[in-house]
Amino acid sequence: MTTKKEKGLEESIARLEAIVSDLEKGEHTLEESLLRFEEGLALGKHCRDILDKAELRIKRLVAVDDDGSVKTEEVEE
Amino acid sequence: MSFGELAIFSVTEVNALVREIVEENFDAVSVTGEVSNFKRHSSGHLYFTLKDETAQLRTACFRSSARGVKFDIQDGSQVVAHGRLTLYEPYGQYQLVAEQIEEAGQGELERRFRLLLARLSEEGLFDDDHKLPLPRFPLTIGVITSPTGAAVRDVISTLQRRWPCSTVLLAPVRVQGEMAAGEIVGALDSMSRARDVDVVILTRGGGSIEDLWAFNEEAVARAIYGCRVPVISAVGHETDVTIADHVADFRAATPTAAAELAAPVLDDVMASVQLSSERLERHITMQVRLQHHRLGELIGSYALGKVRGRIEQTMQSVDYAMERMNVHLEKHLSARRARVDKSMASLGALDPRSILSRGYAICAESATGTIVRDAEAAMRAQMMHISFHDGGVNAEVKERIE
Repeated sequence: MTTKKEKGLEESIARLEAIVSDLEKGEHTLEESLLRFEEGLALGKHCRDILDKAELRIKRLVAVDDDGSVKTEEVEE
Repeated sequence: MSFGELAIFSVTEVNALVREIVEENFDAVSVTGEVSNFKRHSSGHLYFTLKDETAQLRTACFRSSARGVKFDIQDGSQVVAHGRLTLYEPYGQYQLVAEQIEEAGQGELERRFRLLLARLSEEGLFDDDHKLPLPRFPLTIGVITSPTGAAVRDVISTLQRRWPCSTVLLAPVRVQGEMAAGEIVGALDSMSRARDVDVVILTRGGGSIEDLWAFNEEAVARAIYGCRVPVISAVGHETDVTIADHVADFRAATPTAAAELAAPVLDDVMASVQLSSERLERHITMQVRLQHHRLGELIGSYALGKVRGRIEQTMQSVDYAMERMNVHLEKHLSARRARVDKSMASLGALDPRSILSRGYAICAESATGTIVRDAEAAMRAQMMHISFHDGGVNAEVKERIE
């Protein structure tokens, strides 16, 4: 599960796609483009890290606290 | 009254008359009772007696109607028969010709279903503008179903196949019986409050209307409606549409279809991320090349020997940076970036225009165009061309000052 600080996959892919189309408009200086390029590469890597997990995890929902955090237990399947 | 004055009917005439009266007055009637003396004739017609504690009614159900009977009718079945009354003239016996027969409980559930459906629809629980969109890339997928049914296995195997990077958060519940609705409501409430759940699949396999009844309960409908996470409902077979299916943000025909709706195919997403990264790299390489080209033009426009050499050096370092970018695009990103930055910064400082505008001037021998580097050369030159940032002047060298 994603932690609070870590950007979710949804958000990361959306941002990556936005950066690509923004860059391809070609309206930025080299400096600005490099900043976006760097961010885009990091996002791509972050997404691949998430996607690379090849084993579906299955957890049993036990309880949900008031702050929305979830207590789970492992399910052997 | 004297009977002698009345017309005398034959038996046939009397039965025909009574039949007419009965049929005119009971052309649509629903009768509930218990089935007895049940016979299925080889012609396909059904004959039985409907009875309650104190009375009996002969009933016939002809083949075309009998085909529509959806349950195993037998002696002892409690049924509701819809049809018309008639008289079987040869026996002078009146009977019910049933056109539709349903189980008594079933009819009641159907009635409740239709009433609730109408009421919730009126209230707006099925409105499209309340429905939530599905996330494109859900990482945590809530699954509310029986932990032992085929449905949970179908969902899990589909997710494992399509989208193994996700986590299934399983809320095991009973999916039929009296406790089911309460457990489903509790699970929906938990999923709604849980921070990281991206989408919820509410599912169970097929069954009779009684089996599926929990999914027609008002409390379940309201819990789905109130759920802050999008809900995909897949209850029963394709032909069973429960109230849960109506309220849910999306409906799928089967548990497998629900999982397919919830999750994309990993390989597709991987390819799309890869494509985005490649487009990034292609674009940045192109842009660096463009800068490189502009530098070339800059050098062409200023025939300034000494400065030119240094610009060329700078260009080489940009070339080098480009090469590094192409070869080790990912590995040495920050080092390369620093190098390019530095190149660009020193390039700015070397731009002849910026040097000249800081108050420097360039002197060249008027006759030959050779750069004048020292006082000695200036004395020899006598006439000099002095370049400023905004143009040049011709000057005469008068005397040497020590």
